[in-house]
Amino acid sequence: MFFKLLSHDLNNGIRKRLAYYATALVISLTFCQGCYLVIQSLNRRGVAGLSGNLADYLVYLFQGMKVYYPGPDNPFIFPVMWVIIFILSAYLMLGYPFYDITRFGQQILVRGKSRYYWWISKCIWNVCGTVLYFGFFYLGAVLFCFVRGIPISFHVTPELLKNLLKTAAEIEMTAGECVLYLIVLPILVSLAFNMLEMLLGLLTKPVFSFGAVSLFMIISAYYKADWAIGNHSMVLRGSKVLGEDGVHTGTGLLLIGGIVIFSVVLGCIRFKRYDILTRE
Amino acid sequence: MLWRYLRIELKKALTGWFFWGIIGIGIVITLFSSKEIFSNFLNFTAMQSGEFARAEYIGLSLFGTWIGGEYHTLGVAMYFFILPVLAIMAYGWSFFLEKKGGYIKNVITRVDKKVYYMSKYITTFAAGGLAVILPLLFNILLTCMYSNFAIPDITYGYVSMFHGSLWSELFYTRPFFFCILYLIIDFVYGGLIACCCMALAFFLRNRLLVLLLPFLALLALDYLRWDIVYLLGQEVEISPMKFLHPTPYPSPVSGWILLGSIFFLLLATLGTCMLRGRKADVF
Repeated sequence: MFFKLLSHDLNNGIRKRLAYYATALVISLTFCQGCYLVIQSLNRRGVAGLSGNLADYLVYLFQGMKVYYPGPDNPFIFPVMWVIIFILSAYLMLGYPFYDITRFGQQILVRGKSRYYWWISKCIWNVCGTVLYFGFFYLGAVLFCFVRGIPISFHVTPELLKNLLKTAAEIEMTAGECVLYLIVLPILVSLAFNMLEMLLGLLTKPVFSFGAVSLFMIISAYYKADWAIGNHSMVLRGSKVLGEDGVHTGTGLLLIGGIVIFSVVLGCIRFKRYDILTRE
Repeated sequence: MLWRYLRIELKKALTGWFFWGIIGIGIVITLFSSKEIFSNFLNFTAMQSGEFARAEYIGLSLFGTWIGGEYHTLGVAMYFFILPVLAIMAYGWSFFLEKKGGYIKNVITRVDKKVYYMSKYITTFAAGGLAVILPLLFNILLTCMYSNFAIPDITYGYVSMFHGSLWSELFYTRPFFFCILYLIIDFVYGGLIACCCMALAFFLRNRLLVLLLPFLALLALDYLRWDIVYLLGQEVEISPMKFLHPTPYPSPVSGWILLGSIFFLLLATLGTCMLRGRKADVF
């Protein structure tokens, strides 16, 4: 029965909504074009003289923002590119569960005989949706590099990144570290945001949960702290740029795992007594 | 007839727990600013003792410490980011739900369509605007409790208002008047953002898309602002997420951009609601 539920969710929540997920491709291409123009501008001024490769572009996309030190002479300007990447993912993961519960899902819920199955199925759908969203996002970056003739490799160019991110640090990453910092961590951070959002949607209303997660993203940009999990997806806050002062990836992974497990368990408990008939 | 139905709509919008809940959320967010500014105030007064007592009282001026005058606390970061969502959530959802739920059919058979759409537009506008400015007003009153009314002075460096930015001369001469004018701008913008949802409800069926598209569009505009500024050829702030903050950063605000965007949004939303509403078949 569980697999029927899951297949229903994957069919209705992903296959029939592929066009929505494909927006990630569009924003990825847009951001890559922005990065390309910055690199061109640096080259024109003779600053870098390098074209970069896929890893450099991904570092640029997931740079986040430098550590913010509040003060009257230092206004807070949120990292709009980073926010758009994660907020769009949160938005795409917002609607389907609550759409499903008010329509066809009610029938399935009765016939499924287990509310846990319904919630677990939605959690798996959330994981798949988040991975698919980032799949499109990375596909956009790869396509961009392919079309522009930029090498598709996971070897960062420290000299270029220094100018691109306006930092004094020499950013050097192995291919494995590139995968961890530029692919695994952004997906996991986004998954934690999305799971938390889905849980909060059960406790309040979906739009409120979206607002709460959006504020959590701003808090992550404001504070450099391990508990503000958004920091773990920002290259400028990581150990590769800040060294010892950077956020600790191990703690981040533990926290992300904790949030996901907490969301699944609390969601199960809450959904058991969730009144589906009074919800719109 | 318009006034009669408008009263019903206003009562529905402004007396519900939902509207006041949104105001409450806004106030709670502004408290993050007040808390940090108040701790700064305590540190500031502790440092100024003896012959230096109150030497830099201007640093505690209301006009540089209320949420619209400072730009470095968590409160200000969160409030002006979530401002469009607050405006939308106040009453922006109402028309979509009434359309979807069929309530509109009961109204249209009793009052003129134009009356219904105009009342709904005015109410959505008022609720959106109030949801934005009531927390700001609360913050001003709260800040008055521990700040003074010293007129800002650029030489002290506690405020940031660029030369050439909108009403900068007013800020340094009549700051109260400046605050009131900026609250009016925020009210109008909040109202128009909420009305965007009403206009979108004519074209879209997805509730979350109707509610959050204006917010996502503002984020996209914020990302593209440097490209647009490059096309305009002069450094002005074109992102509402930045220029709704009375103290402009990182670029100065242009009155023409502000007026133009208000005029465009008004024309687009009111035009859509009245013209499309008149023709739309609700049955």
